[in-house]
Amino acid sequence: MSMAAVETKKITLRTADNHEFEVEEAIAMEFSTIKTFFDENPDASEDTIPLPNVTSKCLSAIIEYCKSHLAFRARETSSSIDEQVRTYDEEFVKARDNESLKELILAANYLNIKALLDMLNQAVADRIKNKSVEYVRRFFGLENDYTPEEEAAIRAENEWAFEGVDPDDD
Amino acid sequence: MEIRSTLTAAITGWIQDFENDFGSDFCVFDMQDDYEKKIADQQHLFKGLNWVWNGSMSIQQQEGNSSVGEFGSEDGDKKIGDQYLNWVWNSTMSFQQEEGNFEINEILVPNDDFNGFGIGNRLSIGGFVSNDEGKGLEDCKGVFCDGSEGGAPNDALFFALGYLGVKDLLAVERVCRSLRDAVRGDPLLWRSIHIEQTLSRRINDDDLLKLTGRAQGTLECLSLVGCLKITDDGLKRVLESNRRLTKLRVPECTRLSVEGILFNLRAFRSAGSPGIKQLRIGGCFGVTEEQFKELKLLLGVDKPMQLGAQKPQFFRQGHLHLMRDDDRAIDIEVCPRCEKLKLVYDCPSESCRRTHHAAELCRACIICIARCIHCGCCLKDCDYEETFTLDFLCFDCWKQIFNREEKPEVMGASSSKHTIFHQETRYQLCFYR
Repeated sequence: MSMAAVETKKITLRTADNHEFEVEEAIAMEFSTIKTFFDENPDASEDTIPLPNVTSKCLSAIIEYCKSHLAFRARETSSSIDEQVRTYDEEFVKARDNESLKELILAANYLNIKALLDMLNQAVADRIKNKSVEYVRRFFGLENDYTPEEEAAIRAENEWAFEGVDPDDD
Repeated sequence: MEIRSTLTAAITGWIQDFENDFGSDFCVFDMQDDYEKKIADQQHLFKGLNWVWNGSMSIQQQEGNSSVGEFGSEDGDKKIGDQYLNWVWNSTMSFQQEEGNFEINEILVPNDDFNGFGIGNRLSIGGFVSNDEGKGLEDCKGVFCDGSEGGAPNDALFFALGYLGVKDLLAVERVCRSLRDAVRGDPLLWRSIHIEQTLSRRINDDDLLKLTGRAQGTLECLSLVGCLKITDDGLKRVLESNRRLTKLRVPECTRLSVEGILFNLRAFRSAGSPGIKQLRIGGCFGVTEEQFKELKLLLGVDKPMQLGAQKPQFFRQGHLHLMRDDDRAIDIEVCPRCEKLKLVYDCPSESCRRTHHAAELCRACIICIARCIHCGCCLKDCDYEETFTLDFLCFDCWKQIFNREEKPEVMGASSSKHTIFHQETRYQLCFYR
């Protein structure tokens, strides 16, 4: 950080794998969990906040996200900024595999970052929209625990919604 | 000798190697070194042991039997009950046995100090029931599911469920039991139901009733777009059990009638419910003036709609139901030109937005002022083409569509071309080239 910004307060966060991250207060306040904590404990700002449910990989991604979005918000609203935000969000999710998305969702939920959580959930939903049942299974690494009878029953129940669609297309 | 680690590796290897081997009579442990031979000697004990990957597993404790599972070993009872039995799962696990109690006994493992199994990944605890009678493992069936990480992925997935539409929710519930329970059991997921596109042509009264029932009475917003099979009676049944409904959208549901809707609104009022506050019926219902008056009364509209509160509505074929929704109580109004009750559109073109007066002049139903099907602009100041389906495209939109199509490499990804064509399909345009 530049010396001119020496007034900026830093908050230290310690992740589950014992990495410490120093972040500007503005960014830490994006995490509603932490914001609430500080609202209730104003003297605790010097302490290191433990985040036992967040790994360093997740936290660094989340910090990047919050930093970028804060920067976007600092600029004037315009449709080109909206476009840039959209592009940034798309890029943020695109490169990540399902495992990291899931971890990020849980971390964003724990830290209570609404915008990020919305965005991630929407991204996961988009990945499984209009996909076959088998695809969703593979996507989440879930096994079919239905008995053949149950499976037939549930298929029949929802038949009307899937007529003419081959469930094992992909 | 301690076989714990070896058995761990073995079972890990075994589970990984075993793929849908339904027909096998026994499982062969993929063991290392000299244990292999010893296990092989015991193979007869595994006769009839079918391990079926079925995605769910629960080990149930049966009363009256020994409370811990026992795997026999050469040295007598070796309990595994206080060892953690680690299985990889994703959801619950149930051991199903053909008859009676689950029995696992006397897998003679050549080992003294048998401490338990581990299977590598995260696991949950199970207890085996065993029978003291030293029977073999015949006809023992077990089901496993291969999970990646136990509970965590499901939690994240459950969050995302709220972002799925009805059709995807119905697909997801076929994936596994826990997802089915999550989808069916959470009324929040069903508080706002939108039926459109492929589902709308197929859904009938009974299916709708079932779906809306999942809200357990908390349904707030119901949107049925082009649901050709839904009848007045069907809608009535849905609304009878969902008195908290505040928004109802039924454009292009040709089997519904204005009288039917009025009936439902009256029923809400007499039941003392807060009632529906927003109604969208689209342009295909012929509404008389009197019906319109009563509709407004029942919707609680007691003063003329303030223009400021309404967002301008632009004509976009195929997106009638997705128009920028605002808080107005009802979507139809009196057309300033023909004075019939219709959907009235504003004009997005610059010349018509320049002054308030110009904007007012360019407000009318689609019959009175023809508009471009793509951007919604009136056609008075521009060239336009009439399409194959007798809709209008202003020249700018025409160029936009066809220039892109002609030079996809210049425009970048060809997906943009497909997007436009896809949109056009929804717009019910057919361009033949």
